[in-house]
Amino acid sequence: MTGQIAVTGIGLLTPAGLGVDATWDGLTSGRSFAATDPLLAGLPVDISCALPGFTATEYIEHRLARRTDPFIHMAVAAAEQAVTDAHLVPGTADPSRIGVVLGVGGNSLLTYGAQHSRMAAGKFAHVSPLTVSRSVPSMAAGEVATYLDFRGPNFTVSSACASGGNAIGVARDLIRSGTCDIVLAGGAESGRSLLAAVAFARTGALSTRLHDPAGASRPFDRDRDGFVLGEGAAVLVLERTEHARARKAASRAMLVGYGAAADAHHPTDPHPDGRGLRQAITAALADARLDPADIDHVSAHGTATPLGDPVEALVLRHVFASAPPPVTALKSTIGHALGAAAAIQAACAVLSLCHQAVPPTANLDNPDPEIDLDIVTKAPRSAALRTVLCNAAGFGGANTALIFQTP
Amino acid sequence: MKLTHDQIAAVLADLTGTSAEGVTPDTLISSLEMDSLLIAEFVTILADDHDVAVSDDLDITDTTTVRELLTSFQRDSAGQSTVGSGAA
Repeated sequence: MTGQIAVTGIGLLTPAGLGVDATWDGLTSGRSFAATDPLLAGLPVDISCALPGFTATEYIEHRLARRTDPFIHMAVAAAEQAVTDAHLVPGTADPSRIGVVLGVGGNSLLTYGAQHSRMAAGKFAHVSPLTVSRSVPSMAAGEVATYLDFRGPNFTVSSACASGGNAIGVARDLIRSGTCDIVLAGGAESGRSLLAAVAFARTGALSTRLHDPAGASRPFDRDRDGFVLGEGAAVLVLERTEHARARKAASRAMLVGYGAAADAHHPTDPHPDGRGLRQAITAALADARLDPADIDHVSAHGTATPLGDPVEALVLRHVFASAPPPVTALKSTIGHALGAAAAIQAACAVLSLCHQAVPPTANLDNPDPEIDLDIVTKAPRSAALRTVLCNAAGFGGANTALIFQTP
Repeated sequence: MKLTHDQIAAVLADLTGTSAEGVTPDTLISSLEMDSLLIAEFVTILADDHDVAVSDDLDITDTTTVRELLTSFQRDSAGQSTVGSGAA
């Protein structure tokens, strides 16, 4: 089955705001939402980008909140927002043909850390029987399906920080193949746990600009030194256009291109030429039947690591030759939500198309002279946007590219 | 330390979202709609927070009340619970 794939709904919880409009307002403010995190007090890196005032029971029922970890709370809350945004009410679609595919980078270390301590102390009877069900990656999609009674294919994609991109791409293919009419696709994750904070700090990937949390995440800046752990969820309602039309649902955007490729190079470092990301972008362009010149804006992976940013810039200079379109790096404002990051970028890219504006990259005070890109800074830039490219890359060498277009 | 009704009620309320005041000695455990994992979590919390050792195969039937659970726990804090066997 062919046909176009529409985005008919968005749910979004980010450190910039709890919801689509709040997130957009936060992103366009141009400020970073990183701060010292009491949860991480005493650790080598104690800053993060946290959801502002998120109380799970305000979004989901107490019982579900009590027996699941925050990434699941966020997934279900974002999914419910997305379904509401899509006006997807019971009776307007066959629940057996609605899938849920989410990207989650890893097990929730919040629960694993706490329960492992009990196990290590020999207190086996004190290890929670909910340890597995509250923390394994598949539970986010599973709980979303249970909460919303969507009975189509249900699974989780895990490719580290590219998970959300792969999830949206695979979800798209479920619709293209005729398996589903609708798929809720996105990602959810929280990096705010003691073990995650210490483990990522030990890799050297986190910014240690602890005296200046708001200035810590500095993609493409000369003084960048790593990313800031974040959290959040984004869920897109992807739907065959004919199906959306039949139930009179409006399309926010079209998902027109998806590409994925591996660096096949190193566990954590990007390939020096960015060959995987380049291949993913090229594949997405071919999938969308677009030329590089057709892309109006790039939402960069832009983690602010010393190694990653120049490689992405190199790839963009190569793909777009002399004229890369305006670029922004959202992790400068909302940090890095790991497996959810690419989905959050995708949702925000759709918002850029809706608002015809590019949100700014924060903290780009001294652009790296080696990085020659048109990066939007300080304030949102109004632009005639028809297509947006979203890049993502993850440990293990996974790369994804998604292209969205105005309806 | 002897386990109290209020302590059990607080744990049950926390797990199920009902109010602690709504959990009375005559409340049927089955009315709280706890599945086997949640029952196991309940036992684990009693062990962890209140130092009450309860058998993992705690037998709760449709007619088991909160009072019966409490009596059983108080009778044998070493974990030889007889709840559900009719002894309470």
